[in-house]
Amino acid sequence: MTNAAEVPMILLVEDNPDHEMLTVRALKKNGIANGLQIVRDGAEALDFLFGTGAYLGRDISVLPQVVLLDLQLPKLGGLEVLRRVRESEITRLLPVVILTSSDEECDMVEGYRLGANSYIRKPVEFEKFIEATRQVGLYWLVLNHPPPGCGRGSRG
Amino acid sequence: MIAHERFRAILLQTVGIPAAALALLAGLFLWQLASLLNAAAWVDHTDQVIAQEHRCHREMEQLPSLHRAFLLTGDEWYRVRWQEIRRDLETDFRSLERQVADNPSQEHAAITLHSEVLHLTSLWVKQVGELGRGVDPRAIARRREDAALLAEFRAGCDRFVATEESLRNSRSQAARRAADVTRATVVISLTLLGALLGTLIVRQLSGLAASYHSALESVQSQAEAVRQRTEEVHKLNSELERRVADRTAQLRMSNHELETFSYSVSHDLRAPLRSIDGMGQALVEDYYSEIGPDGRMYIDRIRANTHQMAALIDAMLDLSRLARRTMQIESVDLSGVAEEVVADLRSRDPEREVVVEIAPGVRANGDARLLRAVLGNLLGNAWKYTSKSPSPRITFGWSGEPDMMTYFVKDNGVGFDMAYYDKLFDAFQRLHSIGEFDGLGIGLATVQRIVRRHGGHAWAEGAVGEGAAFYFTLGRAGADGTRAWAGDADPSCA
Repeated sequence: MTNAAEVPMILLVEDNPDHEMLTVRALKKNGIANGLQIVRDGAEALDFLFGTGAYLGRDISVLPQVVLLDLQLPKLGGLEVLRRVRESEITRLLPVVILTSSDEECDMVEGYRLGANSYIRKPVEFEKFIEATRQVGLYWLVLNHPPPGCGRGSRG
Repeated sequence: MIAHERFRAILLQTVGIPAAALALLAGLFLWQLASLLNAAAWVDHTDQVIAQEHRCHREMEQLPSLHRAFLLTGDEWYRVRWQEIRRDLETDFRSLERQVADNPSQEHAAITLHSEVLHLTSLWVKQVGELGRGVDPRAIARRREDAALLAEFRAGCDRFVATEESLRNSRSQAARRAADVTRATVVISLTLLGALLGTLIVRQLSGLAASYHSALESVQSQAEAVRQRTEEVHKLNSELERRVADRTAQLRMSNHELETFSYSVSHDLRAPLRSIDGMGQALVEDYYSEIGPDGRMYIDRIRANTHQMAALIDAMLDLSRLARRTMQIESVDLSGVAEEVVADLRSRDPEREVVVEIAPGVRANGDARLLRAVLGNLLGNAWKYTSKSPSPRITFGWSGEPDMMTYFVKDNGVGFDMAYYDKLFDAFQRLHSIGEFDGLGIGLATVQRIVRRHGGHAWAEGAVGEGAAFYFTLGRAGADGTRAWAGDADPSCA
């Protein structure tokens, strides 16, 4: 469902429905759930960003302000999504935050190498997860200046 | 092999025997030659005697004619000539007598001839005397008083010469015989010598050849043996290399499997825990009053257990990761690391006052990250178990020689019972209940694992209520750490 780009948009790529629910809950608690867009796997994420497949016809000039990307995804893995995102002119500057359970060093290194903007490990404890979400949301939606074309064109 | 002694013996034989034979032969030849020369000399001697006798005879034959001539002519010349020859004859006869001195009978014959000459001489002298008295010379001459003596003298000369000649013949025959003997001797002995030398040389040469042959054979067989050994060694080597390659491949595979396993574990085990915790929280928040205090307590316990499990998973992963990580050996400033660990501990518990003594300038060879984990564990434990002590004190130091140092972390905290020492370093074994001290009980297993990888080992001493001391070594400069890595399987990750 396309969104009128008045509210900063977050693209959440998450396959686990429980986690999706909890993330939404956390974002809601922090008042940043309005522009939330959820996709269930890597292929769907790319479809959304490039306006293909199920999202054919979406206005792809409207990009999220930040992408929250899990690494363990069915179909296309998170790192592959990241690579494609960085390869395309449209999405090259798009801020991507890797939000994953894995704290394997190789994942982190590869993520940064492929051009992720941030790497955050999802804590098991929900309290901490809420706090992490709050901080991520605040930083990327409020404090950080998005590149042109991502999020809203101008902020009021 | 030809021994030195035997070689010298052979040499002596090969040179000595021919030399001796030659010397013998030379002696023989010389002796033969001497007798030959001797025989020849005797022949020569006889010839000389005969010649001398002829001289005497010739001279003697001149005398009667001269005497007669003098008688008949009265020419003084004849008389002078006669006296000259007479003097020569005397000399010659004396020579002849000397020459035949070796032969008594001939000597006697020569003396007889000489005396006949003397008779004749005195007769002629007498006749000359008569001539002086004016006797008619022709009458003296006609008397022929010297005829008989002359005839006898001549016969005597003939006999003398005949004897000498027969002597000469026999001596000449003797000489010829001697020559024949010599020749025969030469031929026979040269032949014998040749045969002897030939046999000797052949024998020595074949002996030498046999010795060299056997030496060569033994060398060859030794070389063959060496070649076989070398082949065996090569075979064993390549077999060994094959096995090493196999093992390495197996290890790489199992390592890879372990990595994949840990990777899935780290994600797949945590995900449900997160859900449980989150859902629990949601339940509490959304249905706070409905579930009541007991319900909230249950949910808290549920969530606490998920946190526990998450921590356990993290610890297990850490432990296995430490086992797999390839070590990067370098010189590590342990004092510095200890300072950092303590600073970190203090920052987390700023209100605690703990006296920490860190020996300065302590260095070790090892993997920096792993050694930090060791000190982190040991100092963290010391920090934890002194939390109930009135005046907590922690020490980090070392003892021993620079090439075999023992490092320690000591504290005066709650200590432990040495009766349970065996369990101390096992993973997940705890000697204090969770209520007393929080923790999972795997810190020391990690320490032991890391220390072993460095080729050293860890041990501890303690007493209940009197603190604990944990010691560790890092082996020979920690260089053998990879040895422990190869065989050490982590039981907790199985």
